[in-house]
Amino acid sequence: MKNKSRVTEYNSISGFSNVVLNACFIVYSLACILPLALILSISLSDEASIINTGYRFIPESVSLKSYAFLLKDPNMIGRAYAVTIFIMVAGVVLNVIINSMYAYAISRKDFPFSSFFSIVILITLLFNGGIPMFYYVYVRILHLKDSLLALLLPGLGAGFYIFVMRTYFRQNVPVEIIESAKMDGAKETKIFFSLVLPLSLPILATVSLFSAIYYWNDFFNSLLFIEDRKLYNLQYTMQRAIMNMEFIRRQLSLLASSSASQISRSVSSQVPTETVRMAMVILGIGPIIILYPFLQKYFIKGLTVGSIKG
Amino acid sequence: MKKGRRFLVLLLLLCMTVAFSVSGCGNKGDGDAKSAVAADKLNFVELNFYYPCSIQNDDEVVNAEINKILKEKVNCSLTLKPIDWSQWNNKYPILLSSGEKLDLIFTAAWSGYFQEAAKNSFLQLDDLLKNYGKDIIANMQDGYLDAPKVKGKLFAIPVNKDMGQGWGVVADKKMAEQIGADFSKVKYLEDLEPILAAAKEKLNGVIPYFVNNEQGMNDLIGTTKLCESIGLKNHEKILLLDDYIMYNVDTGKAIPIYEIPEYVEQCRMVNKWYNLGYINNDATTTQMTAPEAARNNKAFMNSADQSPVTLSSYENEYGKKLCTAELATGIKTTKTLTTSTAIAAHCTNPERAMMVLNLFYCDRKLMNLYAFGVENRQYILKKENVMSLPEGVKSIEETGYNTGNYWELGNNFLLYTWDNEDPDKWNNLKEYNATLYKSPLLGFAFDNSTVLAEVAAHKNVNLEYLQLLLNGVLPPDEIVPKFRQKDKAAGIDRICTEIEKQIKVWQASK
Amino acid sequence: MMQQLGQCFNENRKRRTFIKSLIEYKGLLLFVLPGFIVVLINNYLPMLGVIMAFKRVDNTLGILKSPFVGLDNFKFLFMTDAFRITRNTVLYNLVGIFIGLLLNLIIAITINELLNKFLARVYQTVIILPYFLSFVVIGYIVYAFLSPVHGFVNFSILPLLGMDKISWYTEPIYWIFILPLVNFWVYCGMESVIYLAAITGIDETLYESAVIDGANKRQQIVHITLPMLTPVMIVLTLLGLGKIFRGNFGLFYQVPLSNAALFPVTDVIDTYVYRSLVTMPDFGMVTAASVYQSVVGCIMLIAANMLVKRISPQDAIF
Repeated sequence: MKNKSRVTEYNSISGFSNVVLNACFIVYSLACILPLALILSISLSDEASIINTGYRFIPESVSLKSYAFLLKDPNMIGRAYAVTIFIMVAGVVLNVIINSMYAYAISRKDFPFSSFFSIVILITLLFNGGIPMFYYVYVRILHLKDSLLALLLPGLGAGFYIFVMRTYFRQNVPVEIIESAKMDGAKETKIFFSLVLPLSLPILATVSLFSAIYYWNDFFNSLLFIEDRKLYNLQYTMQRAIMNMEFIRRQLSLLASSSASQISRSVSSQVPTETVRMAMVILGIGPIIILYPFLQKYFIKGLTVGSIKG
Repeated sequence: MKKGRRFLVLLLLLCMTVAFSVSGCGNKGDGDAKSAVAADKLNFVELNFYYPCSIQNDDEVVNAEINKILKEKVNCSLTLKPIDWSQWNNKYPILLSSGEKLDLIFTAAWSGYFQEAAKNSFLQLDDLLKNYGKDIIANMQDGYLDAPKVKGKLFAIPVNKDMGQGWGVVADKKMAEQIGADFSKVKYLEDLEPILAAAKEKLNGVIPYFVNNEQGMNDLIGTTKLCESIGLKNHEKILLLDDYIMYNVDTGKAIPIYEIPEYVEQCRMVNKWYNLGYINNDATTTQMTAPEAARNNKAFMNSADQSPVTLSSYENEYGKKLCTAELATGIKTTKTLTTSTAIAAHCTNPERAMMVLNLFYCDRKLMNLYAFGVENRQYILKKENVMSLPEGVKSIEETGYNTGNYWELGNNFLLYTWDNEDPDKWNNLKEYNATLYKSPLLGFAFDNSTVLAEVAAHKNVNLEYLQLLLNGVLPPDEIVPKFRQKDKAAGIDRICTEIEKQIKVWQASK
Repeated sequence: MMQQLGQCFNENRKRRTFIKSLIEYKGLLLFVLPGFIVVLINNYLPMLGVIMAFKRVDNTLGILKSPFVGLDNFKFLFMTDAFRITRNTVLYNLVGIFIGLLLNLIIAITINELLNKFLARVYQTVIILPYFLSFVVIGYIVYAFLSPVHGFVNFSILPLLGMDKISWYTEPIYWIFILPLVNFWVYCGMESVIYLAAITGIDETLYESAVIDGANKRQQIVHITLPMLTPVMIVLTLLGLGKIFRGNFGLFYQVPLSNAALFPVTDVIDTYVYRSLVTMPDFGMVTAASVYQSVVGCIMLIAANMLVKRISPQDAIF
């Protein structure tokens, strides 16, 4: 008992260091939170005050009009949320399973094809055939236009996750455990699901988090493959307005044509105001933050219920 | 490792075989469909139309009504596929190259028409037009069908609408009266200087001349008296080609815009204005648009196109009365006349597509459905051909179908007018169109395929220096040498020589 | 003759052992199968598009039958600004990889050492927030700070320090610092999570025995934590080097508001290609740029991997 407390004593940083570190983190956290506070403030402001006085941390005049405008069509928003959540959940589950299985197989030093399959993945991280070909494969060969699979599939088979997990498995899954399980006659699947995965919770949580955020934030696949507005996901719905505004501001000048003013007029009449666009940003982030603390405990030391050993 | 390597090679071969055979699958279907087309004219055909447009709530309702008319007249349906503006530039090349089902598609000189025609993305329309487009030919204004010709062949049907417009400025009428500005006497750009000085002095907190990335002096090129003397202002002698290259009709030489000393003089004047604060100093970074600035009384004057139909739309958009002054007269060029509709190369039934397109040039009900929506739902017709908002709808944005994209398809002269517009709007436009000066290069399109790399590099150089030069952000004497040097490295001379050559050939062939 | 017979026999033996290992490891092969199929569909089928880089694409003939033009499509990359865009891309990436690595490590290690676990969780949640913002929105935020009209820096912060206003959007030099700063602000919170997870996996007993041997905190970090994190560090660095010629389009296009005056410092290969082709889409040229970036990245990766193999072979990526 006494030994243990001495151990923990030596195992902590000094009080002074703690204060310094906390101070640094408070500054860093403020730097991350203030811009969001700014966006929130803009979304709650009155449009005219934004034009007149610019962005303010505390709104000059508060107005909930932007949120009212967005939530005017609850059907559209509700549907967008539903599509996104479904894709995210399905995507994360599939992602974790497919990628961890692949990573585990190539992490095994006794697997004779491990370097071949590693190179297969490595090449995908270096070379890509371009968007037109990608589109061609999905739309013409696989006929996945306007389908949920088109939103799901592109995110699977991510080489980055596979390599990170391979490294983790190699380091944290002792070869002896696997060998003794094999000698006991256990099959690969049993070894994987009952031995390896429980040892790897931190990295699984990490990959879940990354892929959840990927699917949540993704609007590019909707842009490419979805024309049916019933299948728009949340980010695409939100981003469209912002992108249309950017189009007017940036790309229109590149067109330098007589039609520019006509185009600008027809686009800008559709684009909601600054405050609404900022409200879209807030609505776009919101829910994922709620999910986050549940995953967090898996990758901060000392919070995990101790890993299974021996 | 060795056996792994062999396995790898085998696998790659397997993949490639699969891929090639499967990709063959994709294309096979189209060939069969095309050969079957000639046979029966009356079978039901499904077509689609891709165009840039914001998505509307009532898109499907309007589409259903359109299809009722189409079924009755030509036994087919047209699925409207609006693509968000911000995605249009990204999407249309992919749509055209993927070979998927694509029938009618919007195109324009600024939306890659000439590039895509060169890439054979569109079908040649001369015969189709003759056989199935009789109403198009009958209703099209003079000169329109000459414009989209590439190597003498037609690859798109222009929209019958305004043929060009003048450029000038619009200014807040109340503020103008306040400072005693008289716009009726303004003929040249320099005539604005005293007005701007007065605005700067007397109007506090208001930007005299509002410039942003979207619009500014780039529309007012050559509007000074000096430029008029060399034939730049009214385009008699010097014409503006793509990418800010100028062509001198007399000498037959093509040069980049900064090589015209008279124009550089204009830039010096604008630079003076910038330094005096007549132009907002955040011209290159401001996030405000001109309508926003105007609506909030932050700006006095800005550039604007000038034609019989535009003043009222500006006044509606800015929410106030405006003064205008035209500084550059309108000109009919290839560019202004090529907003059009094309039929994609892999269209399954080009004849039917042309028939449908033809209807948009003669069927008034169809045209207005597309442009404004369903009668009694989006608008009501109180008088003949004049629309009013339906009961209880306060503004045009709330009708459920407000695209503002009537100019993307068909025959605009069939359109109704709103009750707050001039009922003779379209007739006036027709007359105005007839008065427009016709560019000597109308019908010429530069084929940049031999200098593609140089053009891409030159575009980049333009983006770096042009705004700074045109809007007077930096003194021309500082920018032009750098501009010239970079442009030469990009191969501007090769581009100019190629342009001159092609124009000579085209002129000889006329 | 005997030699040839001997060779024949050896090859047969190799073939037999090849098939044998296929059977013996069929379990693991099944594990690899789903990922392999996904990768075939997502990456290898589309990779055929690479041939577009060498063709003048004709939409009636289709990709396969379009005419070959050799290296023509690559020309535009080397005409005016080749040196500038390459230099910018590479330097920003190097800074991002190596300084980013340092920052991620510092964040991960220090978060774990904080005494108050609740605060640690709060900080950790907050610092990943910037990752959720799109670069368009980040561009707005940066503008809110640096705008010449209402910007916080020019109008609130600099006056406090008694300094003159700075015209941020016309002076390139500041952006050498602004862009990496924004980059770290967006990504460090998320990327440090990987290191956090790795640290969590380190065996506690290692630390306990080190403490018994009298090691202090610094020694623990240097001799246990860092070596245990080295494999992850190496993998991430190698993967980053493989993308050394690819610029983050959102960061370099949206944040400087594509201001031409800043191009000497903010223009990277991806933004250059975008501007060249946005009004003149040509898939041949776009693909050529991508191939160029991939080939260089590949060479970089192989070179770096060979270096790693010499130092600690078990951490090499292949």
